[in-house]
Amino acid sequence: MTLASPVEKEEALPNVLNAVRFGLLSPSVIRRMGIIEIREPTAYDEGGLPIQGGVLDPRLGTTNPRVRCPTCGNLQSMCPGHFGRIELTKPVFHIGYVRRIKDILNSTCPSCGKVLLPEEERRAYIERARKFAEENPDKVVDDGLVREVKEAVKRYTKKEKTCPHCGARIEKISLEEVFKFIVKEPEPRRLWPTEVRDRLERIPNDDCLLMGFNPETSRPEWTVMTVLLVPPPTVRPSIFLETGERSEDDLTHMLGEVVKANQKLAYSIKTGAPNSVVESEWDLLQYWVAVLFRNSISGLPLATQRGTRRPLKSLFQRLEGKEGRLRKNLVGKRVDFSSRTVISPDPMLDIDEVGVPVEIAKTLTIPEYVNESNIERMKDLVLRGPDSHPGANYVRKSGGMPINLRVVQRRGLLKALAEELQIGDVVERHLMDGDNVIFNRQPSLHRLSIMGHRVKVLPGATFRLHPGVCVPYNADFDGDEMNLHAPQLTEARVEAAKLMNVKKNMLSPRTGGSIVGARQDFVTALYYLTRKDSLFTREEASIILASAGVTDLPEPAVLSPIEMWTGKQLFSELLPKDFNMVTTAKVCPDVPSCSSPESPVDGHVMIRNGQLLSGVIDDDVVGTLVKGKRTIIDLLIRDYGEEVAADFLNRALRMAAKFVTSIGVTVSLQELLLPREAEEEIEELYRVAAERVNRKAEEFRRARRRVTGQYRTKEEMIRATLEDQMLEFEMVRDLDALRSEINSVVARHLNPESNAIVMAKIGARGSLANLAQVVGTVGQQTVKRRVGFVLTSGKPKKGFKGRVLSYFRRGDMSLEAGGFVKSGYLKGLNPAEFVFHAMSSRESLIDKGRRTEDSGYFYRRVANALKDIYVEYDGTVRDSYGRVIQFRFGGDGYDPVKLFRGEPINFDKVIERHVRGVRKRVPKKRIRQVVAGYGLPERLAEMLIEARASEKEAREVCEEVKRGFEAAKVDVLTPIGIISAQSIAEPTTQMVLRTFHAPGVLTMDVTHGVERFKELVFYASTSTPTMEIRLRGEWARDREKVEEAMRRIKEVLVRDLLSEFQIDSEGFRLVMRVDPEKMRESGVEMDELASVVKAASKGIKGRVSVEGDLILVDMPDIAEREKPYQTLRSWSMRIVSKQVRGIKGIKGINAIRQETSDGGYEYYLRTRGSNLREVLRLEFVDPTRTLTNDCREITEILGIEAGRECLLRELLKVLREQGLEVDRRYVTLVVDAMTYAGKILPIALQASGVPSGFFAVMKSPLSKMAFEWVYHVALNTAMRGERNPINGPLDALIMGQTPPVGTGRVRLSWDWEKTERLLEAIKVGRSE
Amino acid sequence: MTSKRKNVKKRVKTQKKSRVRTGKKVHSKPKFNLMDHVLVPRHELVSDEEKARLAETYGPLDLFPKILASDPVASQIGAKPGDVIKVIRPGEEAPTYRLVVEG
Repeated sequence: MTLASPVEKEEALPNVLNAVRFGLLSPSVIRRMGIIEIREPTAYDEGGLPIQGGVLDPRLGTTNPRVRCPTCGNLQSMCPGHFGRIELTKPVFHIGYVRRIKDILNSTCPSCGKVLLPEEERRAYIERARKFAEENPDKVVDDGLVREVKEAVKRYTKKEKTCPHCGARIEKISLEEVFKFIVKEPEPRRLWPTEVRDRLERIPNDDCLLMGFNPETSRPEWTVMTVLLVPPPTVRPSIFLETGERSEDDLTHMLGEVVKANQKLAYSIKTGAPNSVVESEWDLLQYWVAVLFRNSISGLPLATQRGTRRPLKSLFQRLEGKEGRLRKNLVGKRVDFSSRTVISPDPMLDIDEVGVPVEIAKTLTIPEYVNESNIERMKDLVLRGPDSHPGANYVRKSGGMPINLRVVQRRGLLKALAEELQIGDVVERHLMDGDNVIFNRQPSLHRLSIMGHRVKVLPGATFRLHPGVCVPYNADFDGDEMNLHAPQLTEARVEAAKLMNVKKNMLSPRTGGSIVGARQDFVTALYYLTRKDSLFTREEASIILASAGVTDLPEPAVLSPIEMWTGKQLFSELLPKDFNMVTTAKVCPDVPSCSSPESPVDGHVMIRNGQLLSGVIDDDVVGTLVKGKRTIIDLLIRDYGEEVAADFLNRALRMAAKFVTSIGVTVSLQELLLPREAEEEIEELYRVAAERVNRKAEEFRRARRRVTGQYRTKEEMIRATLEDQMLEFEMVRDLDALRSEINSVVARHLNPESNAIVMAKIGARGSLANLAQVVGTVGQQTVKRRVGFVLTSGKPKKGFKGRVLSYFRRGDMSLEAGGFVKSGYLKGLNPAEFVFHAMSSRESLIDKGRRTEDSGYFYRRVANALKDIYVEYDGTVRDSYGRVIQFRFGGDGYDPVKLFRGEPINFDKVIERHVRGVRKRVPKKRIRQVVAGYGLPERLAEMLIEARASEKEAREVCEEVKRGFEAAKVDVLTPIGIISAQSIAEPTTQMVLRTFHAPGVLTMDVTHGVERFKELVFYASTSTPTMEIRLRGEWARDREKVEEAMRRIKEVLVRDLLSEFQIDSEGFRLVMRVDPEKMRESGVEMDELASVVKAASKGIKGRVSVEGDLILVDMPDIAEREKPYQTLRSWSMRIVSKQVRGIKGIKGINAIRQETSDGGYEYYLRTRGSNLREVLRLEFVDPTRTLTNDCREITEILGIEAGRECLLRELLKVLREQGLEVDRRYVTLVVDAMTYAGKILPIALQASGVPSGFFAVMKSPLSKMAFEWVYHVALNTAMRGERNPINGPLDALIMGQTPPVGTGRVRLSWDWEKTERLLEAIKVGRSE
Repeated sequence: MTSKRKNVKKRVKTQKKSRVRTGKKVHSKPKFNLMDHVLVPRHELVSDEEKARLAETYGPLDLFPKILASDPVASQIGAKPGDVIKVIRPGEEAPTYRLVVEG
């Protein structure tokens, strides 16, 4: 039996690539590769045929599908194209290496080529370089060493003028106009490529290593080209326009220019043209060769197409950027068997189904092998042909071309073909119900953006999708489109069904909680269904249950006067009969009030033996992404498996969908009307708040009037702006308070039974704040994170002065003029309010756009960095080089998805199974010891004590629970890096830029949100350092001591003690007036200040004198200086900025009182600015608990492990502040990857210009290129002759191989011999 | 390298100065042990036998996470390049290891 291939083209490579070696091409290699010499400047002859020896020489390979290649004899599809070459009349530089060449020329001897260092030193460096090359055969070149050598040579050549080896004179060479090397001394002389090449040739191999070149793959002289390799036309095909004209590729144009310039130069030399002519033609050749490689070199004119002036696309530009070869074609692949259309909802589907339009089902096919059991069905499908739905489009027989059924049908031969069908043939049949396909919505921010669905072929033109899976896809139905892929190979189809299916992905890897569930109207429906007052007659109950597919009614709860069923009863029918659960619903205002079934809002949800005994079902019980709680769905998945959970969800949602349409939920205008007294109440609240704010503003203005309009010093201006901000924050606080007061008024007066309020309370849609905006007050509008725009400082700077709209008077400080919208949406906004509202809305819209951009890049960067990290068989987390990133994922090896918030197994059930309950009590301590001995949570111990377990039973329970925990470990080969990257990057899309929280003096200028995330991950830096200083013993409690501590820590500069200072530029003196009050405050004596000033002015020989409250510094020496006024100013500034007291860098400080856990209190200090080293030295500081948010500082002083902890804490802090739930294990992975090397590596290609970021240290060249900076990475890699092992997923993808993570890392192996032996044995067994 | 040394020197200088400037005599107090800091987990040098055991379970030690020999904690416990440091982070059952490297 021979089988047809399962897919049309078996796209398997004949060999597996293990590694790629980068390097430079030597002239001899180019001559060997480029068999055809190109010398003709024109491409075509008069007849329009390509000229032999022209840039489109037919021997370079055929681009015409019907013409055979004269070189290899293949047709276009098989001809790979053949390289040509241009013999350059004179050598030219490779433009990417000119800077490097300059460095080499300046570091090596012009005559002997050795590095300009004393022989001994040179030998030492060579020794180190060799050692490195030996130890790192993949990398060869040691970047750090190369930099060191460069520095050393620089130092040497500063002193010495001759070569230490041969005594030749050292010349200083500079680079001008991009590629012109000039020797300055004795008189300027151009260094032409010929001479440069000669010099480079003289460099010994050993010295090459010190210059960053791997001599085996890349000799430095190869960067000066004598032959140019010409790419075949296959990579630069001609295009035929409709007019029949030919249009050439940009590369062809440029190559033509190179040949032209080359010929011209050769001709000029031959005819003995003047030197100047030859030189300018040589430069022109250099220009065209440079531009051919890269047409965006600053300093060179852009090469443009004649006529249109469109810049030509050079070789490197083909590689670079999002649309470049790497990202577009090598990392991103295009696929067949995919489709895309609009999505629309259908709650009657199962959650893991997708409704596929017939049209699409008839186009997408699945190859199915014909076998004994399906041959009849296959025949039917073939018979039905390509046009009627369950049909087929192609049939493939072993060895033959695919047979197109459309053609067969036209010839009326379908029947014959169907009859001919035999086992082993492949039928490419239409997509049918139950097929497993892959469904995807962009942006694919996390794993759940691509899931497996079962096909349901439906009429219509849209993909139908269950509303319950909108959350993982982040889809809605306002025109969203989605993509559907039909996997072809059996392995792929099995993976789609068994790994990717929605049912297997109901839990979010990010939080470990369920991400599919009820939302919006489903929640409303389930709430109304399960309320205490919901009673249904036999007919109603039957209809409701029937919609969920339940056909048996339970015993009615009410028997007389008529039989009635409660909604809770009906809901209970969907639950497994032994299901138990206790939780609180969202309606519940606070947990203690819902601790019993008597809770007034019915918020205590209790399910016993599958019966909902009390509590309503709302968002916290069946919702999606519920924070910190397990929902019914979570528990069903854990205790009964995905199938039961999915089945429950399907039925519950179907029931809810039917029920909600039967009761009808609406919001009427009437229920949103506030009673008279409520409006009055709001009016009064507003009046009081307005008065308060106005009073504050007025006071502020009066205070400000004392200060003159212009700020004399920077400090004064900063202080003024700070005061502005303080006022603004205070206003925000007042207005926020006003809004929450209004909220409560609204909540009090609206009918709590109205649908709008109910929906807000149960978490179905909307919030009380929303409602208050509708019926009460919209509130303060802000632009650029600041309130109102008419504050004291007259912001915004553009536009009107002293006001925002010409509608208001100048300087109007009232709330209305400051952007407060008093009306509610229901009443409508007045024109001024409308404008404010529009401004604020527009800003938030723009903000949203910027945020998606930012978070998209954040994701790309983090994902690229962590892409190759996976879980190895030994449980360690490693990257593709085998480096251990973590010994156990997240420190404990647990998979958040399997952990169910700390209880991967149902403790109750386990206890029930093992514990009889003994009469004699076992000491509680004993049980606790047993549980702790197993390392299990304390809750289990309490439960065991409650169940009166004997010690033996406790041990049994612990054993089983322990096994449950063991099973919750991450699966081997999980690509945990990518999942971690997604888990921290996906929520950044939801981060808000503004967080108006506790406007304290110092917290307000600490970076938050995405910004903070970015600086931590991209730069590992802190733009707003702050410390948390803990004090020792008495110092922490005694307010006076705290004050003293603050005085001693805060940095005091000279200028902080002055009321003013003046620079007298005629007398060359600095006059400072001391502020006695400030002196007293800081406790500085005049003598001390004077001595500091004296010390500071020592360098300029200043004479310091004190006259009353004046300190004078005479600096007569300055008059002699070159730029006296500038010098005077800079010295004066230096003096006034001198530190007098305190700790350097601590610019602000305040004390915060904190209750301690033992009931006492302590003060701690928060600072602006950070100086950990100095602060830890202070005797009153508790050094063990004092922290800073600058992780680099921590690493430097407390070591890498502390730095890691700092980074972790800071990242978690951002997530916590933003209210985003992310399992900390993912964050630890990011942090551990960043600290792998023993220092914090920012996730970047280069740090401060030098390649030293995470990518440079940890990644292969190809994956660096796939990320950013293709040009630089490619050039550097080639120069070093790096070897790129094909280990990671990115490298594999680029090489067209299966990424070695997850299922791509395992192979099915089949022992045929064994199989045959088994088969034989079976046969024998049968016959016996 | 040399610039780093310079920095250190500079730092030492400023430290001295700032002490003078606080205007008060600094009490001589027991030097703060950075191992006591809340952010610093327990570090222990690993014995040769255990190193061998680690190499057996986890493969070559040079693939382990690194810690610089100049790291404050590493130098305090006297670690030399080639040593392995066991790090016991609070709240994590299994220890982590770092290989000491030059730098």
